[in-house]
Amino acid sequence: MKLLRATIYGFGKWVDESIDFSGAPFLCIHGENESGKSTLQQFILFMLYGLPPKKRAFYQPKTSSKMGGVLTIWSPSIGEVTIERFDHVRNGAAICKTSNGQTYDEEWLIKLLNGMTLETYQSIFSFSAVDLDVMKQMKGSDLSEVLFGIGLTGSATIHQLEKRLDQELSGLFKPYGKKPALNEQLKVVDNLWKTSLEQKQKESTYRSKKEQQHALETEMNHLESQLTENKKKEIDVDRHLQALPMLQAYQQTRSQLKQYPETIAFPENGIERLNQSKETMLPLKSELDLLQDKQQEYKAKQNELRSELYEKEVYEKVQQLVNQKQELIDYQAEQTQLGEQIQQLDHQIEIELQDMDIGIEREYLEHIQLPFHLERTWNELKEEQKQLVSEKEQLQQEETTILKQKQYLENQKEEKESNLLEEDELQENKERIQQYEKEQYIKYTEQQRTPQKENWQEWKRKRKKTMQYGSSGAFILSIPNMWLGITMENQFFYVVAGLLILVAAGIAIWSYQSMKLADTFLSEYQLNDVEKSAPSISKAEKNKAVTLLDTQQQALQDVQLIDDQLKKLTIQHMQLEERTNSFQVKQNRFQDKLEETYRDFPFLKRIAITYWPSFYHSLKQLINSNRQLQQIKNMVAKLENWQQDFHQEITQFYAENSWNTNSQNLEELIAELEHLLEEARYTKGLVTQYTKWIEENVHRQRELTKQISIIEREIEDLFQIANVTTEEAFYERAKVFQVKQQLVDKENELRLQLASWYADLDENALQAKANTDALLLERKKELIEQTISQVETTREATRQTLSEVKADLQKMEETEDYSTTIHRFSVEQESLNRMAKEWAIRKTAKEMLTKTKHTYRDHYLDKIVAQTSTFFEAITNGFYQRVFAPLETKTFRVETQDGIQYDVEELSQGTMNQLYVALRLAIGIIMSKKHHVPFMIDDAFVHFDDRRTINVIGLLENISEKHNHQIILFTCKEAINHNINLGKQIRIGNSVRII
Amino acid sequence: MTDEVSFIHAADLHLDSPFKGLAHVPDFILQEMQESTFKALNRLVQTAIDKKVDFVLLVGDLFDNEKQSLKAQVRLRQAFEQLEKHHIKVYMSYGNHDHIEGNVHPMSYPDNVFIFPNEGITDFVYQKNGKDQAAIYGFSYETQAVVERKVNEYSITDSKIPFHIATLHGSLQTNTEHDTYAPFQISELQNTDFDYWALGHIHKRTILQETDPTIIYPGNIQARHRKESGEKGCYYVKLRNQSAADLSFVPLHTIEFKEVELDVSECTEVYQLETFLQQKLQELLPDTTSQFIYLTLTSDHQLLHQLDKDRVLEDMISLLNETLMNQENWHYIANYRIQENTSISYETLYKGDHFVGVLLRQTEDTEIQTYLQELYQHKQARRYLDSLTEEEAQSIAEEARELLVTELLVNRGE
Repeated sequence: MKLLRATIYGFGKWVDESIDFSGAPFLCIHGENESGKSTLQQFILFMLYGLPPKKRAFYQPKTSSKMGGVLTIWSPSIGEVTIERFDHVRNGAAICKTSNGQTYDEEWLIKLLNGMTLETYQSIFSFSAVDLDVMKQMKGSDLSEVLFGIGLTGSATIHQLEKRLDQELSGLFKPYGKKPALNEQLKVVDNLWKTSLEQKQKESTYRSKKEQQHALETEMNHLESQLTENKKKEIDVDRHLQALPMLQAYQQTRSQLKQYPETIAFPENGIERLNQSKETMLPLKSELDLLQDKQQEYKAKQNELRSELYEKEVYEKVQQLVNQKQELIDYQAEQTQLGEQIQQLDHQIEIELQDMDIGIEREYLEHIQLPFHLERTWNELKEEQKQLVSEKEQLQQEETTILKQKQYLENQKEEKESNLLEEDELQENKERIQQYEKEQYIKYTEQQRTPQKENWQEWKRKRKKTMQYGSSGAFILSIPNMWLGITMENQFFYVVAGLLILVAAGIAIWSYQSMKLADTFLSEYQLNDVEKSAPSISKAEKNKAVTLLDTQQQALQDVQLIDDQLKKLTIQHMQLEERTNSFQVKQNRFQDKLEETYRDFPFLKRIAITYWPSFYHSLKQLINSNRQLQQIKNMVAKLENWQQDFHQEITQFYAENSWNTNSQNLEELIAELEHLLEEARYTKGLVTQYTKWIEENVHRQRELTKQISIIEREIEDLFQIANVTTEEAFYERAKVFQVKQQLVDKENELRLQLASWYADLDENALQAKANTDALLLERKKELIEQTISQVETTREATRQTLSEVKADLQKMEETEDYSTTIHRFSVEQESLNRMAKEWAIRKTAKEMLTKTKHTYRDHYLDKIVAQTSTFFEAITNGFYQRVFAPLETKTFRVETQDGIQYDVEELSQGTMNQLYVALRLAIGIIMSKKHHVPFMIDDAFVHFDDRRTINVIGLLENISEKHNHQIILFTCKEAINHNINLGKQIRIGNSVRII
Repeated sequence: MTDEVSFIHAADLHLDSPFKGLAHVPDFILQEMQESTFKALNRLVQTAIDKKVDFVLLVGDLFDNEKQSLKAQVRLRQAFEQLEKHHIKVYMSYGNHDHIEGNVHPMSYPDNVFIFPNEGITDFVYQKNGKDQAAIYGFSYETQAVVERKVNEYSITDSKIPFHIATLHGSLQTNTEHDTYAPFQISELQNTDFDYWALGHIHKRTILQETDPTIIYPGNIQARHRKESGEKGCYYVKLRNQSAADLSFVPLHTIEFKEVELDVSECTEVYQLETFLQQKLQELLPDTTSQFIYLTLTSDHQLLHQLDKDRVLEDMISLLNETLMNQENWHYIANYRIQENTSISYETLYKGDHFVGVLLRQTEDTEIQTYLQELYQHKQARRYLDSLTEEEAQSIAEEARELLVTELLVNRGE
């Protein structure tokens, strides 16, 4: 494989640059420090193997946003391939394109590289001065080993790894060590194991202890039963000793009893019964005596009380008086109530009198009489006065009206008369008219018969119209005047109405005559149509005359009418004066009546007549109140009288019975009487009580007597049973009976006591026991006690041992030592096993490494060493001719052309580096038979002298030519550049330049 | 009235037997481990009392003779005494681990305990209200190994008794994990007239057949190593005439074993990993029981290896453990394993002519035992080290290869 071109879009300081690697297999890239040589190497590696995101970020150019590029390579199997990678495309994955336009992915690229990983590549085909520096840090003695290690993988890793594994292994375990972790853990586990064995041993004694416990428990049981047996014997002897006096007493009692007769007649519990009867009787008798005394006492007391009481009649009278008490209380209450009423009424009357303020005194009220008709009389006076006033007003009003009308009419008349024409004037106008009419007539008859005729007809029509309007107007005007006349009863209006009717009639008549005149003319026209003369009077003159005549006529009629009216008014005035006179008479009569009333009731003068009816009612009310007041006062007086009488009666009663009293008051007296009654009632009660007690007393006495006789009969019976008659003899007999009974009881008691011990023994056996010697028994007891003491001691010792064994067992059961130890052991053993595994892994790894080393060496070493020799010889210009591979005990050795051999340690630094370079080149060449990838060497020749530098360059040129193996040398040394012959040179710096 | 019996079926109590495969646990956890089998026993007793069962069946391996502590015996006796107070009978047999001859601490148990006395099939009759209610059959191991087929020896003695329960401590013949003691095949049990086959010996809970007859391995009551994961306990059984057995599993364990696998590919930095693990574990782990966690961390990149090499991962796990332990029901990461899908292509490397290639080819089938003799045959150490199984040897070889490749390639130049 060869690199052809690199196009860098952006990678570290490289931005948009292209480098051509083709042209020659050996390529020297020269650049000063920081010119980007290492970055270029990284770019190539990046293109081939990719980079993780962090590293890609590291190479992100500062001046460009692009990161990535294209590398074109040549593969013998495929031809030209371009590899493209961009940071942001597919997470930096490669896109490969072949010359035939096919596109492939990363996987494909890995296959193309034929198993060559980045790591392997860096181990074999890439080395730099830094790798040589690592060598320098190695100790001289390690160097051969290091060189060997490099010979195998291309770096010092194997050696370092081997050493580390050794360290770790010895840190973990040494067969005879103490400190290593495994050895220490082994100790822990071993100790735990031993402890557990001891504890297990201890626990295994549990079984024997259990057996011991069982044996001891059996022993204990045996001893217990022995003890029980002896204790029982001891109890028997003890009991015999204890019972001995009792046994003897029993025998003695039995012999005593034999001296008494078989039976003695005596009532059962005779003494007690007798005593009991006597005891019962005694209180009964004493009670009887007491009752008799009491009876006497009660009777005396009763008589005494009776003497204290008054006669029955006295109490009846007292009772009667006391009974009136309630009446008294009621009357007193009523009296108080009435007093209040009096006060109230009195006050009320006083106020009303003041309110009226008409000078009526209280005394007057008591005497005043209001007859039944008075109210009506006062009312009539009021009405009459009212009527008189209204009548007077009307008369005055009528008079005024009449006078006013009269005045008006007179004025009217005067006015009309002043407007009338003089007589001659009147005549003149008449003539003119006649003259005109005559002339007109002739004219019309001659010339214009027809038009004349029409004129006349017209005129006639007008007249007719005047008649209609004038008469109907006057008539209509007369109607309101008529109505006024009727309503107001005024003759003036009648007159006016009459005049108007006349006017209407006048108009009608005048019009009719005019029409008749017209008809005459009309007929004349028919006759004298041809008659005609010259006119002396104009038509206007003629019309004026007619008008004047008409007016005159009208005025005359008016004057006539007014005169008629005036006459009527005069008549009315006279009638009015008549009525005024009769009103005056009425007025005088009323005044007389009034005076009469004032005489009877002078206070009325102060009151307007209008208010008299209402005043009547107030007065009447007042008089009633006053009467009521008098009635109440009378009642109060009656009540007071009654009380006085009552008091009198009581006082008299006291006197009759010649009782003295300090009480003056009626109430106190009554209270005294009540008390008297109460006392009497109490005394009577006591008397009754005593009577009752005496009855009860007598009854009880009868009962007691009966009981006493019963008891006396019982005593009699007792004597009979004992076959005695006196009490003394009864007691004598009792004594004998008692002694025998005591003996019997004693015998029974002893028998009973003995039975609790010797229930199963008969009388003979008891007799025998009673005859035993006490001393003998004591002796027997001592012997038994000794035995018991011995057994008890043994038992105590056994119990002690047993409890010890039990305690031991319990302790064993409670202890968890063994359990804890085996659990702890298990955990620690696991730790040990884990450590062992750790060790095993490392140990195996180390063994594998060693084994592989041998194999590998066997396989490659000969070739590599031969190749190394060739290269080393070339570099040293034939000074060193052979290199020997290190054997088990020997290191790398070299041989000069003189046949002298040197150890690696003996070589100079430069020579050592040259040997290293030769070795790396040899490995690379050997390996490149499989992996044909370019070498990348970075300034590995710093310690070389000029001669050997030239040799190395020559060697590299040769190798590349001979093996057609691309070698790219990165250097900052100008000298190297100068020595290149066959190779291609590229300068990098400000720009890429190909020389 | 229908006949009914109720009982607890348990086996393989292994009282006070130590846990296996746990190293460096804190003292308080060690104490809990030590108490765990007894706690499970106490829970069993309490369950029997609470459920008011008629009797308890304990089918062998109540403890281990090899490491039998007196404590185990005493606690067992105390448990029986408690059951006696509640009138609950116990029918028990000895198994291969607690066979009669090997018993170092023979104990006398209260009267409610009935022990199958020898290797012949014996039966006890359980009476309820004066009536025969159930016959319980079984045998005990007198010596450590009973290899005969015992099934054929079981036969019903009195067919008038309503229920017949057979106890058998032995292995199903297909089961290859355990020594084949008193082997049987399911078909053999199926052909019997027993109502219930109460089995013991296998620690994994298995219902071989639900009914007619019911055949059950209840498993052990407390797990003691990684392979015994999940809940452990006993069966509470009710048998009724003419109906299927009423079975319910009752967990008794106090400590559980749990495998947890976490993909931590998303973590590229140490602090991320720590937070991630903390979070994930808190989410994953239940708060109801204490657990030993076996953690497998998988990742796409090499952070884990790096951290593991630098012992950072170990410290992180310790820190995590401190948090996880600080709870009423603690969790403790007992071990962790990392599994990385690294960019190293073994396939490619294998083909290479370089050293790693040769190494991989060379060590493909290495017999490693000889390398390890120094330790494993060490006169003191070999007493306490478990001899390596083929599988373990394989795994060690694999890990060694991995270590070499990683170191040679990944960590080059360090």
